[in-house]
Amino acid sequence: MTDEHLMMLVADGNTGKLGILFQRHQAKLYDYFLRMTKDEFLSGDLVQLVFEKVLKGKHTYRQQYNFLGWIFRIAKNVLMDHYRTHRRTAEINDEVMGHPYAQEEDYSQSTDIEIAMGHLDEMYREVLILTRYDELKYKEVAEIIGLSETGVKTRVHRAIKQLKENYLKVINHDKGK
Amino acid sequence: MTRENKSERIIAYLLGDLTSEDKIMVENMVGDDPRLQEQVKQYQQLLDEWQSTKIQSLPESRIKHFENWLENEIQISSEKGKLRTLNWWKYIAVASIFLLLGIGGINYLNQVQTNKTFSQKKTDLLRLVSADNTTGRIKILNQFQTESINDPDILNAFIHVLENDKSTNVRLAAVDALSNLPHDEAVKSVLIRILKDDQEPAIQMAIINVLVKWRDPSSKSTLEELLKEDELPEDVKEEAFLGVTRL
Repeated sequence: MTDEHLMMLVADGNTGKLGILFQRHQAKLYDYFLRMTKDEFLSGDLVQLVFEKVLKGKHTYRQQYNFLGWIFRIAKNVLMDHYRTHRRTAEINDEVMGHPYAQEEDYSQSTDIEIAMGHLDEMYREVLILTRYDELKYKEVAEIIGLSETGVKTRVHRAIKQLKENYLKVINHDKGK
Repeated sequence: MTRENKSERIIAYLLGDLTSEDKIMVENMVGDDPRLQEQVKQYQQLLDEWQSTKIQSLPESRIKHFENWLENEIQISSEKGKLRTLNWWKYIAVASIFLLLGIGGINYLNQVQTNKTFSQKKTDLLRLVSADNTTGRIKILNQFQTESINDPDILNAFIHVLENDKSTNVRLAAVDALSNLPHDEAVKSVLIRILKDDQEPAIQMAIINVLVKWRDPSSKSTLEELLKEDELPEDVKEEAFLGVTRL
């Protein structure tokens, strides 16, 4: 059964089918949040939040929607909401406590390409994460991140160029050790 | 073409974002340049590595957390469904009560209205049968053309009009009204008596038509006796003869 069919069943009141959609896509969402926030705990929370929003907004889903595109649009909104809230809180903390909003990144378990990816600009990182899935064409990615299809292509090309530069730096750094 | 542009063309080529013509152009461009060939190799390697990067799954504890949440949601959804079904029946029950009350009320009001109308008509009839206005008397008699006359006061008023009214037209209207009572023996005997005694041919002919319409065999002998009378008007005789043949 396709994702779209399953989601229509969920929208029709068969809540149990959401479990199948979760099994199929939780990893993609977790991977997206993890690479964007670099925070495992937070990413787990955000995945849960996405599925809660899917259930809450089930009546807004239409069968002609690409399910993965739809769920990633929700994920993008969840992430933006988190940034808005968290950055505001961080700014207040900075003022009151004098603590900078920066997290120590742990790349001890990561491959060279993952380290290179982690150092990409956020907008480049996002577009590479999304375009790696066959189900998401440029059109769907454009809808998720709010760009034109041409804009997405250009961003992907530049992201790969930057990824290559980062990758070479990581390799050279490793060789220097 | 700058070096930057050449890199982007190579990436677009590897991602399959180019048209057939552009692809050929990139292949021609790379074909003669060992440095560009090296770039193609590097980008291809980079893309392969990125594509083969493992997609991390949620920790087991998080999956368990989701499953518990979903189970809870299914239960809530099921209870809501039951509640909705219950509410649905409640709404049906309440709607039925209102519907029955509505129908009962409407019937009651109709009955009251009918009684009121009948009562009003009866009063009008009893008042008008002795009135001077012929048209008014005919009008009120005609109101009973389509109704069964079960009220004895009205029946007596009709018979009184038929026997005594000075207007033939009013009397004919009374005959028409009484023709709605085919099984009333008292009415039948009154009609037969008037048929024999009355001097107005129009009234006699009207009564003959009523008796024929009722298809009562006993009326045949009445008509046969009528035919024996020498002074019977020709029109009445003809009507009586036709009546006998039809009965």
